Amino acid sequence: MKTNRTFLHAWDMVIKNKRAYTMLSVTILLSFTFLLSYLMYIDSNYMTEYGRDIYTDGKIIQAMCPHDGDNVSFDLFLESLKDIENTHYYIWETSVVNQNYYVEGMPRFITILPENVWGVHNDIYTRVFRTTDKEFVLEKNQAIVSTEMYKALKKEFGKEKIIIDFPVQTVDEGAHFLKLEVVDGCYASDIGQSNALDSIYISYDTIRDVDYASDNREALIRSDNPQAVIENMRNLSIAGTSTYENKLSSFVQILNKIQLKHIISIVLFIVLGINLYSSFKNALNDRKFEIGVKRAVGASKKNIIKQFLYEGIIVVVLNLLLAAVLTSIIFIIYKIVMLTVFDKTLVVFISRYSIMIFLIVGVSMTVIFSLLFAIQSSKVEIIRHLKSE
Amino acid sequence: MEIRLENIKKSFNKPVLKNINLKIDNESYIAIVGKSGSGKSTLMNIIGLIEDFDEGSYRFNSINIKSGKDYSDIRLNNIGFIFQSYNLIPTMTCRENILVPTLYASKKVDLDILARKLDIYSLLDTNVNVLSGGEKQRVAIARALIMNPELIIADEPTGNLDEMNREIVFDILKRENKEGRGIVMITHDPSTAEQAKNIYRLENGILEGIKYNE
Repeated sequence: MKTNRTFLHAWDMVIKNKRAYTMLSVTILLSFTFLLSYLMYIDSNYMTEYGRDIYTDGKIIQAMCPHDGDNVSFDLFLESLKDIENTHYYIWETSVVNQNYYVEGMPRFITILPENVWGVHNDIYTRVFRTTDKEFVLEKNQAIVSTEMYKALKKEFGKEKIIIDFPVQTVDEGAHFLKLEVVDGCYASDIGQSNALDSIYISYDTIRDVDYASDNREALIRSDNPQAVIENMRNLSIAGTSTYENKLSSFVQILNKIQLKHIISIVLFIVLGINLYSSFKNALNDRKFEIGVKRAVGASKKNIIKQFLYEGIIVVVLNLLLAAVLTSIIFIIYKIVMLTVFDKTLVVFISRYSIMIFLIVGVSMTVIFSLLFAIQSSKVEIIRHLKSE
Repeated sequence: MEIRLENIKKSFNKPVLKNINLKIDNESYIAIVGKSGSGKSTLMNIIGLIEDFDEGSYRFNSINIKSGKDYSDIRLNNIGFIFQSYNLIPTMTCRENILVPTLYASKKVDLDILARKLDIYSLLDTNVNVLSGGEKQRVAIARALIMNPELIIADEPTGNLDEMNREIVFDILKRENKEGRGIVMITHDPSTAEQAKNIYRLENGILEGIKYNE
């Protein structure tokens, strides 16, 4: 009960002394906003630069069959995947349209996929596929094109089935026409090609009997043990990329930058501390008369410490919360400005680690300076600060 | 209540109080007079347990008061201070100022009765900054009385007041003394000192009785 009364009195005194606490509050607010903004700025930059790699599923590996036709090592590699637990893959290939029949606007590649394809999402920078939940099935003689092409074809064919003849380049540099029913359109991100406009997608069933010229052959692998897959790739000199290695590389980059972030955070912490100490001291000067009176009428040093400890905590915590709100507003505005003025997409992000740093700094500042404030207040000499004629 | 000061000494670079002997009980109404700088306030602060003494003995009831210790508990429950400059906290209302001591005690108090007694009931929710001198002093007296102390220490309680308000304060102090509160009043004004039963002069650090009334 007594603690409640003291807390309520402290709250009341903070409100009554808001003028005296304004300078202190401004200092705390600006300092914590600066610290939090700094952390958020660094994290947002990391996320913008590395976020895609960090949050990717690090289990996808893309292995490319050598262009010199060394299918033996590639096949050996695929065989070795059977020994690695929870490892699945499918092969996909590209072939090209016969150039004699190529017309501007039609796809240049034909991508040959298994009948059942796990949903994939293409990363156009690394050409490493990531999985989504979307799956699709391609039956024999069915094809999928890009969304734009599908819309155009739908317009042309109306309610009728879209049947096209597609000229595939054969090994003897001739053309073999595939009669395909276009059944759907897709975005590049759904199908796994850097530019969906450039390709038409069919299954192996459709082209099995054709001696097509293979342009590119790859395995898309998903494994719970990507390190083992990568090791096998290296041993057999199979080229490829993996979300695992991308993720690792991004983490290394970030770790280097985190060290710098630590150093700057410590410096900010010290500057903040010095600032807060001076501000609290000034705030105390305005309250010495009040402390003298309270001590004269019977408040013990402990009573005064409690009151001012609560006041310190209230002021710091309120300003901590305000700093969080202010920082969020700043970054929303920053993001809008970057998008509208500089045409740059900024990922606004703060990591759990940075939140932890902010909270540790906030809590320790609150405790340290409120305590210091409170202890200093209890040392106020009664007589010196009472008014006398 | 019984307070005994024996051979109290206090120095600030030079001796201010020399061998002060004083006895105070519930029936005491003491005025201590002297020139400015004679040490009256120092003596008052020592009695009121807000200043230490260098030598001597001080007993408050059965408690042997030691220099350097904090006796806020005794101040809270047994002593009420009235200051010449009122020393009211300007950011608070009258009610809040009067109730300051109750923040540190679990005692139940009846503010309304006390406020009516001192004719400040209508001012309770007013900020102290807008009050007249007389009103402020009555609020300060209410604060001194809220914990029902056995001893009131008044430092020039009427120094800033007009004649009418001085009389009001004298009446209040007289009444409180009749109700069993000891009063120690510091003043340099002889007419104020005359209100007391016993008058002491403090000169060159020596306390000398100049008027005794039973």
